[in-house]
Amino acid sequence: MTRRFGQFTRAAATIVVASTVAGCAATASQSSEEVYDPLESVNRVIFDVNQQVDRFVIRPIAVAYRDVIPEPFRDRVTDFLRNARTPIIFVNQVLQGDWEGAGDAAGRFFINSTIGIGGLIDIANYNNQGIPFENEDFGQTLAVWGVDEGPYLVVPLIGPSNVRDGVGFLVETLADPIGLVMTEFDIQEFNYARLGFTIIDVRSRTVEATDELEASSVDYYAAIRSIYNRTRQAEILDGDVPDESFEIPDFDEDLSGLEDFISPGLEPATQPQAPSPAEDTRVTELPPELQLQLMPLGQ
Amino acid sequence: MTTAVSRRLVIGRILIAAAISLAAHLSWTGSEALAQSGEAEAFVADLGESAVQVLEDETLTVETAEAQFRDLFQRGFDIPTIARFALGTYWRAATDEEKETYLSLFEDLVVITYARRFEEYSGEQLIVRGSRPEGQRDIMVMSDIIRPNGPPVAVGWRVREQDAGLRIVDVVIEGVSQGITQRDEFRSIIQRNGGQLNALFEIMRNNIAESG
Repeated sequence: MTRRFGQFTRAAATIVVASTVAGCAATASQSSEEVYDPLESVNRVIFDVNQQVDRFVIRPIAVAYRDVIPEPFRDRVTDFLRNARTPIIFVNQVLQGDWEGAGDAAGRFFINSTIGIGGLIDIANYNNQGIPFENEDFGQTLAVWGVDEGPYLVVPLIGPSNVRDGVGFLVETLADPIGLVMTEFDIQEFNYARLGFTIIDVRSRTVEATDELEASSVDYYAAIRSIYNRTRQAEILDGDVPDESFEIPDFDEDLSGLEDFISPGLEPATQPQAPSPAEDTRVTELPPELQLQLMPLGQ
Repeated sequence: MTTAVSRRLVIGRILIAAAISLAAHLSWTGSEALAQSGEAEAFVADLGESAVQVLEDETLTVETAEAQFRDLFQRGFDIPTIARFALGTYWRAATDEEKETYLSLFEDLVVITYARRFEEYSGEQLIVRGSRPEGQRDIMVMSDIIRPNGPPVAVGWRVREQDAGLRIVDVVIEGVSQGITQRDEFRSIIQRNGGQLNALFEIMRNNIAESG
């Protein structure tokens, strides 16, 4: 039972990714791929329940926390929680073969745990000058290893995910170093407190973003699903997104015939059918210079 | 599909692609592009200031504020282009009548969604940070929205030179294109209602009524 704490702290991390527009520093991929969501009807029900739990429990606590506790103290909480996550981030960086990232994580953990008083002050990135915090998790590691995301999932109490990220989350649950150490020393209270503070910390920083998104959405479920997928993709690529700029046709621009293959915004409404051989080769039939012109449009 | 038809399609596509790339090339020549990016930055900064003026003016009634916002939007945004993008492929299949209904609902929805922030405004300021070319013919003006409580939000304004002047065609918040999010939402609604645009219109009407 005690080992399940990692799961919940990871839950909060998932909530960040999922619910925030303002929390993600990476540039989101603008992939036009439709999110694979075969379980949509079940997902929508769970999404609604999660919304109610958030509305009546989590959000009010987060708002009160933000209103009552002064910012410098809340920043100490954020720094401490991030530092406690750093060992598992280090493990993931190593598993991803990102040696620079692993070095950064190790350096941050060493500096912040000592000079930074057990992680309370992010000395390693003081005044935003130094080594910035970069989150990694096992879902991202699996993605780097080439595992597809699988069906989109909304997990009860946790929020947007998919099969790959869900598996990653379970693995981290069992492997979070700080969680394991605390369990070993039988300090369950630490793990409980860490879980609770992580949820409140994360939620308190996304209140406006989620409020605005919900208010301006016509289908909040679809908006969250779309944003989760795109910000997740950007995180996996460590913000190193290839130029995926897309074209926006003018209102009166005539793209007939070209429309469904140059613009991701204009893909066929019906389920895609296997392209006929003639269509399949259409890009390669173009002269190279025109292909170059078309590629940015087609991405 | 016969070879002749497919060849004709390919040739047609080459011609269109050539026209597009030529147009794109013409709009991106040397110093003209530089001048444009400066103009685009000034344009966004100016719009931001105008918006803050409306937001800060506590003497305005909600109706007046909404009217001023509509004016700002029409001056600052290429609403028809944004609307077309948000409808994705369904745009092409829509009848003229549906397009007309959709465009008017879209504008109302956007204006009312933003005008509502009039009541929630708490001193946010827009600071332009710079710009870069985006896509074949646009400029992305990068800015931060400075909030009184909480970290700044990075917002990109995708600006295009239109006949009427510079116009915003997309807004990118923390790397997330609002146009794409909106398109995914609309597509989801239409798909779940058997491809019927009317279902989307109904939801848009409800949202407008709730907010208004």
